[in-house]
Amino acid sequence: MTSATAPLLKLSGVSKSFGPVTAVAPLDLDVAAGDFCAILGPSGCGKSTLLRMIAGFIEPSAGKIAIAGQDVTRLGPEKRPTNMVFQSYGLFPHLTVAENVAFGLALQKRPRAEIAERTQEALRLVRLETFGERSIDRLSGGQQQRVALARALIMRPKVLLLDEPLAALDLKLRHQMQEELRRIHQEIGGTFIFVTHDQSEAFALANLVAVMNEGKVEQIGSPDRIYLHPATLFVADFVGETTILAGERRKGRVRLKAGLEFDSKGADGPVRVVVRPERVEVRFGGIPAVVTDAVFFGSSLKVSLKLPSGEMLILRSSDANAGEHFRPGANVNVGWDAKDQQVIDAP
Amino acid sequence: MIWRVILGLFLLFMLGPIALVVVFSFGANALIGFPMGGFTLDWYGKLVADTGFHSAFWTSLSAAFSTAILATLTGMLAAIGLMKVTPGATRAVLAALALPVLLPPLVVAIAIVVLFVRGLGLGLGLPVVVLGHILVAQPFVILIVMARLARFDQATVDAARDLGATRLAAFRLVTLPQIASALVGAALVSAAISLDDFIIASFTIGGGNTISTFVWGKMRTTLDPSINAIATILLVLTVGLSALALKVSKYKGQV
Repeated sequence: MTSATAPLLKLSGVSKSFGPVTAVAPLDLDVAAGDFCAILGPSGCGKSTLLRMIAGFIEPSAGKIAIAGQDVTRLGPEKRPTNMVFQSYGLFPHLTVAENVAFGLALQKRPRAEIAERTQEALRLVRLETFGERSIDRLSGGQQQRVALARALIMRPKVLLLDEPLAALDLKLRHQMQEELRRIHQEIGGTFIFVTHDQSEAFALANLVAVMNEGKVEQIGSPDRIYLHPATLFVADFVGETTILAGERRKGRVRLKAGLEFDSKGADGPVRVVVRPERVEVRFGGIPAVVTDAVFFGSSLKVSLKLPSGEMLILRSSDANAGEHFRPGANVNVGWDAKDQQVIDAP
Repeated sequence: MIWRVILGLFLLFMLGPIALVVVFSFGANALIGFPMGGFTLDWYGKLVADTGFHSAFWTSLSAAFSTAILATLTGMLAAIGLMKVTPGATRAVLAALALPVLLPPLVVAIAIVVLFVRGLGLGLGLPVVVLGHILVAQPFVILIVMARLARFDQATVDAARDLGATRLAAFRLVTLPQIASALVGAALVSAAISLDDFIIASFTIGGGNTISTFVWGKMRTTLDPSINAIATILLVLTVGLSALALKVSKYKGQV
């Protein structure tokens, strides 16, 4: 079944229930070789359960997991071509850094020279080449993270899994490690899947994002697709700053409470229109609005506007001099291009 | 000042008798009492020459050794199992397993004789003594191992499995090294408990002797300081084992 176009990792109808509780609803996910995939969602949405099913720690209740065309659904973690970086790292405290990294190869009883060479290579990849003889408890959080990464990468996994890899690090270190992860991904050209609740992290690293909520995958797509064309209200709200306006569709035409009208195919009924703040601009003949607040962020200006419907609209301008147009209380007309809005049927 | 005096009297009351036992074991007079009549190791020498003591000593050591191994092995498995069930179930099982510790030793001893000797037809002797000692020592092993497992990072086992280890290999290479010190500590505590016991041993040893039943027998016939020498040996063994256990397992008393 392997062909050049087949995805490296293929989940078909995979789901998991714990008794009456559905942790992960049936989902499909295709990850191609070389992808850097983020599973994004709030805590408790089932994203870690999904990752542990891919790793083999949790057996799915239904569905099939295939890696490189091989069905691995019933295989334990030790028999899968995946390796994982755990949230708490799970480093072996009784072994040195080098022994931690070499653990997997030593289990395979590889020749000693090969183990030494590949350990050094893995440590060099995470820039810890001089730390081999250290004990684990004498490493900082960021260094422990790197050891965990090296210990997984030395196995040359078909798919590297990372469970909230950066959650335990402080902000500065987190940005540093993001850069490191990007560099390593480019350097070895592997396939990475990571779980995160931080959308900026997902966007910074991934080329494929799956947004999860309450055990369901809401949307799978590229970061820009998810950002600009959220498939559901949850995605629109969870991912980035956004304005959601209420309206109604009648015979292929949507009328917003705020006053705007445009054509939109779909069933009659209530709809929501999602607009990203940086796509909103001042324009003649736009919706009349009143500025309620304007906050200067250095690189941009965030303006809160009150629409005739009483709804709030957020506008973000990168024009440093825009401040004078947006004094609180000022009247402005605002609008956006139809291609920058996303119409979603309201539930 | 007054508190120091009270503390001093209290310590004298608590430790005085034990200190006297040790002191008299080195006294030259055959009658236990002051004056002691000079320092001597004769009483220890007398023990070395006493074949009855020899066999009691080796019986006690083999009972302690077997108890340590078996109680630690079974207690470790129980502790690992208990970590996987709900806290409520853990409490219930622990309460049941701790009963032999809480019940009067006499009752436990009679129960052991009733079950193992009368019921199952095992002959009196060392194996039944060891079974009885396991019953008392095992709850301590479970508590010590569980205390260690509570601080144990399950992700290390997951990581080992992820890197290709079978369940057994992960246990051997990752779990065991991390809990080894707790296991050694638990084994030493078990050995100390076994050496300590008199009641269970006296009910179940049958024809032979452990150190404590040997002393009991000797007390009824003679009253020379060789008994003090035995008591001192026992004291050094049990206190030494317990102190070593605390040091090795770094057990701080938490569960």
